[in-house]
Amino acid sequence: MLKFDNVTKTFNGPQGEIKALDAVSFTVEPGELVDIRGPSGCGKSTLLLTAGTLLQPTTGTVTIDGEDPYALSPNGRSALRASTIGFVFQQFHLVPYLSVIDNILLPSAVRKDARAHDRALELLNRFGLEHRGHHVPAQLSVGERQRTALARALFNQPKLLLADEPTGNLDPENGEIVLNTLKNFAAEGGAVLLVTHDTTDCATRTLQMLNGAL
Amino acid sequence: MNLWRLIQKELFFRWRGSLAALVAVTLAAGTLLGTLNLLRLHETSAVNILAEKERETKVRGAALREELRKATLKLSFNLLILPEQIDLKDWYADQASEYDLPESYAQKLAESGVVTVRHFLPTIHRKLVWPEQGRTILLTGTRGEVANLFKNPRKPLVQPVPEGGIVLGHELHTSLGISPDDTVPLMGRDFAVHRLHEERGSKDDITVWISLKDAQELLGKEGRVSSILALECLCATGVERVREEIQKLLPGTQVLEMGSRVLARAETRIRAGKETKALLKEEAKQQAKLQAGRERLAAVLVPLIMVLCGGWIGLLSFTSARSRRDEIGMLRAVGFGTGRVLMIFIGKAVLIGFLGGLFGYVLGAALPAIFARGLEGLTSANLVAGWLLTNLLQAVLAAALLMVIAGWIPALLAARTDPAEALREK
Ligand SMILES: Nc1ncnc2c1ncn2[C@@H]1O[C@H](COP(=O)(O)OP(=O)(O)OP(=O)(O)O)[C@@H](O)[C@H]1O
Ligand SMILES: [Mg+2]
Repeated sequence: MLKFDNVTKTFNGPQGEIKALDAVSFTVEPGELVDIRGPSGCGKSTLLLTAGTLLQPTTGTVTIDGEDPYALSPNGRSALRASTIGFVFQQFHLVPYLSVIDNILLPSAVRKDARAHDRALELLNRFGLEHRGHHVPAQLSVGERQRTALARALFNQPKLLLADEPTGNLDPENGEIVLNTLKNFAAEGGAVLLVTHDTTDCATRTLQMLNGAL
Repeated sequence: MNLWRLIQKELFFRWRGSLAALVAVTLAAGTLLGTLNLLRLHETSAVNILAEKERETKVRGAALREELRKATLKLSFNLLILPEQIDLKDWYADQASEYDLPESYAQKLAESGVVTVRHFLPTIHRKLVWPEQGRTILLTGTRGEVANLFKNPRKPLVQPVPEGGIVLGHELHTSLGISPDDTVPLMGRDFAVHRLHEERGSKDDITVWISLKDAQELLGKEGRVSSILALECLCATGVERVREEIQKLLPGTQVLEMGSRVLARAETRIRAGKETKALLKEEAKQQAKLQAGRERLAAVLVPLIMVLCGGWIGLLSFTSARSRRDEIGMLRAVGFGTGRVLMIFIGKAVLIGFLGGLFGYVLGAALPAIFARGLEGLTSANLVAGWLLTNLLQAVLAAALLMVIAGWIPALLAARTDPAEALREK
């Protein structure tokens, strides 16, 4: 599903080159939940954004669903993200002026879906947000926000879920909900790439990262 | 979920920014439209005032002309036709000269139709020394009248002197001791006294009248006269014109008008009318100058306000685009393309532009009407002339255009936001 082949990403900072990814190669197959672990600054978020078709690698190839996203046009990449990839971030990145249900429905602005509303309600119920549907993110608890973000990531029924420290800001109980969701998603045949720096035991495979390399 | 809903939600969520942009674009559209409307109202006012004055002048002029026409019809005037060589100074002094003109001119004028003349008095005058008496006299040869062809023959205006007769002024017949039945010799011919005048206290007292024919023979001026007096002339055109026409008709003459105060007054008033017209013209010029001044001011003020409002809108859009980086990053991650993001920003700009155009239209139509209420010469129809559908459309389009132009670069920046960067930021 997701394949990194010798991927390197360097940034040109003011203090010279920074190698955020150093010849990274790995795969995530459907049904797998791969956990990448490593200290702060080792390149985990860079890896995730590169996998999410948002950050072009300096060298090496990324393959998603048999396709090199960086060979596509920018619009092609957008379409690929809309159809195939779901994101969950530590900072949730909810749209502040949209209600919970509208945030969940956000992907439907790109991919029209007659059943969009039903799906959104379904997700609302699944994440215990049925009484929060018309609240805006500022009115939610932190856990509710991450659950909303999770629901949005799942809305388009992606094949690949990319999660960047999704439990980082959460209490253990909500962290549990998030991790269980990821586990279930993988169990149902999805591919999950999870990035954390604390230990979890839900992964089918764990990769250790240090200074940009696995 | 669609873009429209997204735009709408954001618009109300960040209502302070939206309101600021709305105020700016309303101000711009209102200023533009209001200035145009105010200029139009000022112009209409000037045009109306001038039209009213012009109408008044026209009415007054028409009344004057009518009065003149009536006066001309009712009142006759008198013309004195003299040989053109005569110096008027001498003429007024002596009423005699050695120059002459054809007697037939009287007939010619009567037949011309230029003027209707009741009476013609062809006369020959000479100042000479009476050879038999050794006295200076004014010899006047006169005839009754030439009947105007277009009129019935009239009673002679002056008593004609029959041929062979003589009429003497008071000083002459008293000093010479002439009595009514005498025969008086004059230049070798005998004349029977026809009448002896009473004292008149004028040149008449030393004047000798004989018949025109006799005088012409005595002076060797057959068929010639010194002057022709046309009495009680009537014409449709003005005196001035008649004089010119007569001078053309009778070459070698000058034409004097003898006293007609009514006509003079009428002509003065017509001249006054002409002056009023000149004043009107001057006023129109003044108004045009004022209007041009206003337009110049508007030509500076309106673009200035547009630029200021445009700058303000640009700044607001830029701030908005910056503060929405995080959101844009997420939208891109969810699958929004750059075009869609651009559309969100431009859509908002257009929406605010439409609203601002609508408010600006109301402002731009209402305020000038209030300002211009004191302006002279405006009807209530003029005051509401700004409430026009085309004005509304123009205002809405102009406002939307301003919003899009001012917000274009910030919107492009927003669309080009690197989602990876935006999502990494805390
Ligand atoms: N856009 C960028 N420009 C310059 N340097 C960058 C950029 N993005 C990442 N880096 C650098 O790349 C390295 C890896 O960063 P990254 O955010 O991937 O680390 P991380 O493992 O996610 O850390 P954390 O656990 O704290 O989130 C860091 O040293 C960072 O400073
Ligand atoms: Mg990170």
